[in-house]
Amino acid sequence: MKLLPPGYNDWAFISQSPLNGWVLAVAAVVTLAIVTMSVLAYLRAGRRYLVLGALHVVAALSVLIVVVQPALDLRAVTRIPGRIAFVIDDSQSMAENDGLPKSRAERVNQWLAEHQAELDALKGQNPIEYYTLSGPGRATRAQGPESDLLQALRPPLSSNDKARPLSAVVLVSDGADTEALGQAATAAERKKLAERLAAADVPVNTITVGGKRSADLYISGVIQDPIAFVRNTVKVEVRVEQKGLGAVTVPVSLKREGSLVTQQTARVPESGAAKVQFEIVPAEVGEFVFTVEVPVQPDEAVVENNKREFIVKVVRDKIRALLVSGRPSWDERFLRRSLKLSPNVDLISFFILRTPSDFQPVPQNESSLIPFPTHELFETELHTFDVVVLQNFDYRPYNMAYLLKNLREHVLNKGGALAMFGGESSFGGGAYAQTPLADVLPVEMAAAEMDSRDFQPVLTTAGEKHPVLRLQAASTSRSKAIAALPKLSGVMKVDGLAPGGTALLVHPDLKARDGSPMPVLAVREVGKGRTLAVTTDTLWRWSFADKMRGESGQAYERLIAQMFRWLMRDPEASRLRLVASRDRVRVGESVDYSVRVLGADYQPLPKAPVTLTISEHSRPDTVTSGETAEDGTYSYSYTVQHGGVVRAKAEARLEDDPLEATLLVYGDDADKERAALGSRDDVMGAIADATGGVAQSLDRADPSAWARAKATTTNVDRHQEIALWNTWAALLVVVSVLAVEWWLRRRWGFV
Amino acid sequence: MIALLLLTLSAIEPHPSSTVAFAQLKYAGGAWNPRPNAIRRLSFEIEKRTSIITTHEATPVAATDARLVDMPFMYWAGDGAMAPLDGAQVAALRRYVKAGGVIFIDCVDEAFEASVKKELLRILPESPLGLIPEEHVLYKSFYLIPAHGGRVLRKPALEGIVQEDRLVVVLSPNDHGGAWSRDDFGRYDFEVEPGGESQREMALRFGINLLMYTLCLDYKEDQVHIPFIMRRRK
Repeated sequence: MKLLPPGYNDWAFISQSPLNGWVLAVAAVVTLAIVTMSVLAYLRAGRRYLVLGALHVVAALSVLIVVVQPALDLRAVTRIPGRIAFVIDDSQSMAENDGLPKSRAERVNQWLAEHQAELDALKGQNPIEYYTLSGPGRATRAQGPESDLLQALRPPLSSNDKARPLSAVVLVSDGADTEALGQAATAAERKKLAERLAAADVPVNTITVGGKRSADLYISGVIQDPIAFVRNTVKVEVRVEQKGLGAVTVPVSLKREGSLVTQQTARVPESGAAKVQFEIVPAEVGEFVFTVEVPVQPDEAVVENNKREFIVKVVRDKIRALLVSGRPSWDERFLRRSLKLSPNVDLISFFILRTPSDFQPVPQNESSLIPFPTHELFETELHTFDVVVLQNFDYRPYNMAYLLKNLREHVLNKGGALAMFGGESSFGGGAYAQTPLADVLPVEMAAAEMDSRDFQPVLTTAGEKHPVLRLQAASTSRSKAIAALPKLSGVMKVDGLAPGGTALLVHPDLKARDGSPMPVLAVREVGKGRTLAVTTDTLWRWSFADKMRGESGQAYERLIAQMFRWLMRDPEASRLRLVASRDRVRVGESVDYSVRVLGADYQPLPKAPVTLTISEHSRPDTVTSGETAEDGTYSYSYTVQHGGVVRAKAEARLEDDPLEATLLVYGDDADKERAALGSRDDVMGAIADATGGVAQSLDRADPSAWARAKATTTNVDRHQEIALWNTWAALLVVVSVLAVEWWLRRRWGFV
Repeated sequence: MIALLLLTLSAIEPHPSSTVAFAQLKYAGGAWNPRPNAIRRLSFEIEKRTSIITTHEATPVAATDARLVDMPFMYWAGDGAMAPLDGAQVAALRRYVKAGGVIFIDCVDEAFEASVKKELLRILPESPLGLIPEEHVLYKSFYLIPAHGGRVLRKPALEGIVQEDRLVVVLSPNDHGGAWSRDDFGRYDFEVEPGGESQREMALRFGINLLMYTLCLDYKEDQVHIPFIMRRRK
């Protein structure tokens, strides 16, 4: 190509005609046909006609040149070698070793090292680029949370353009796709998905890394509501799949905090998943770690995916309260009305409308009375109640003394709450001093005597700060607010506070046995539960009489609401609150904890000493301490290191009053990835087939066999067109030839 | 042993504030107490048949009487047209109902019924009287009541005013007090027409149900009671 002018390294003939190719082709064919027929005709006519035929050919070709307008295209071109993109799987499944000494990722690295020379040779022809499943780069650790091979191939394939042509992709993976491709039920479905890659017109060669032991039984999914309501059924759906085991029937165990709850049988088919459904009815509020588990099969490749943890947060949709009243009264009526109107309370009432001594002149079927179901309420169904209220109720006529121990256990060991409201049948009047309830109630009650005078209860020091008596805005004096309420009337005398009891309101005149003011409203935290005592049965005056004076009567409504909130340990009534920025967090990411401490007056407490302990599986606890800021908050950011449950416990020691709160967060270590760890030849094969690539296994991988598109692409940087024929000259030739032909015909006497 | 139990159980009397007191509205310009023995007798039957403890006698009170703070149940009876209440009385009765009180209006005759209805329009203008449906919990709060009672049966149904899902006023046109009323010797003061003693019994049962409803509200509509009540009504 040395004849080419400087600056050009390539040339080509081109047409400068404005007509399109089809028109030119037709013109050429027509011209050639005319010339051929003309020449054949003249050949038969003798030698002189040959000259005329030659002139026709010249004229026809000249016309064709005028139409085609041939030119020489001088070019300066660049030839770009196509890239080869290596996509190397860096998901967690690559950490599996398939029973071999090295993990899949290590075996891939070993193969790359062993084939370095071939790859270097390849590099000489085609630049090599590396991608992980999440984008450009070289895989360092097998830690990716998911494997979406279709998505992973998109960046290299979409980078194919003229400036940076792509010759081939080499996908190195176990094929354990966690998304659509891996979950495709049939080969046809898989093929259809893989064919989406064919549009890039670049072959994807696949190298599958896996093991001989490919059998795997695994839990591929757990579907459950993250929030459950106490005493309501929670459904947990578990998907179990297998690979290389054939159809199997296995038990699926559900455990709570390590203890077996129940078991179901899963019949896992040859292909597809088995679903089993568990129903849990949580009896307590709180956060619980559940585990579903299938047994490890003989020669199973991966055992980590045979179990899966999940957190169930059990909350209370409504406080379920049992109100047992000894007789219909105004105190009962106003309490029932207040509780019924509360959207947060599910109230079950039992009122003693008729005692055994009452006269009944009509048949039973003419009344609406029902039996008092003592056994059901205080034995079989007791666990379903958050709060039990005994209002002026005497248990003795109902042969239920033996059931009161259940109520005590409900408080002490089950975290239940008990409230007793006054009247002649309450406390000592109901002979409760001789019952198991004496162990849990806030007052001692050997006395069985009523004082029927009107009185204005007096706020105690504890009552000044206690949430039960938060009846108005914090800025208002509680003692003044209590003093402004209507007087109460009559109390059942009690002997004083029980150990651990706290008086919030006391009688202005009556004294306890130790000489202190007699409690009117007292509370107690005992065992896991809480109890409350109101020794009068005229609290209703704070509603009716208050409203009759033109006031709002809201103090009564708030008092009842606050009593129940405190009894139920409503977080809003807790002085230490621990919250996290997220319920689930991926491994390697951080979660922000916030510990909020309130003082005894339930206002934010600055400079409170706080300790936060965070525990993860297989890792020493992280313990951090500090003081709360001005807003009563202590914050800490923690990076989750391992998958599974992360437990946080906040503690604050305030004037020897220890406060504690716990919180669970789930460290998401790619559950989907852990679920399907077995290698998938079928997935890798589908990708190679759909794109025209070659599917190989790692132990037989051969770079020379890889399919590649054009090894190089030529780009024209600059060019110049030189017309080979002048139009006017060509036309002159045509006219001249026609003129010569006419002259010869005249001379030879053909005209 | 039984005697000892009864002795223990009855050792403590309820104090007055925890018993159910009946207020009886005393007003000028009308016969405010046409059946003086009615509440006493009803109270006797209530204590005899139920666990409710009452003060036995009605307490005559003016609408503005401060003692009403202890008596959320009011008996308002009359015979013949009554004079209009003054503004303070109207306001006091309105406050009484809004605070949670219940008024039972017992009409001996049509003249009183007409005049008391005018007063109700002044007390609770936003809530007109309406018929109380047969399926209302008032008719099953203690007894299952299949028929109306009263000294007479002038009208086939009672009327009431509902506020915030609660009957705050119940009006009887049938002189229930006349059916309840009994002298100290146990003789009924008035004949009951047309149903005789069964109609009187229905009147007594209604009185008991009314107080039971006032104290327990819609307790008998709680889910736990429904199967029992449905079975007994078959």
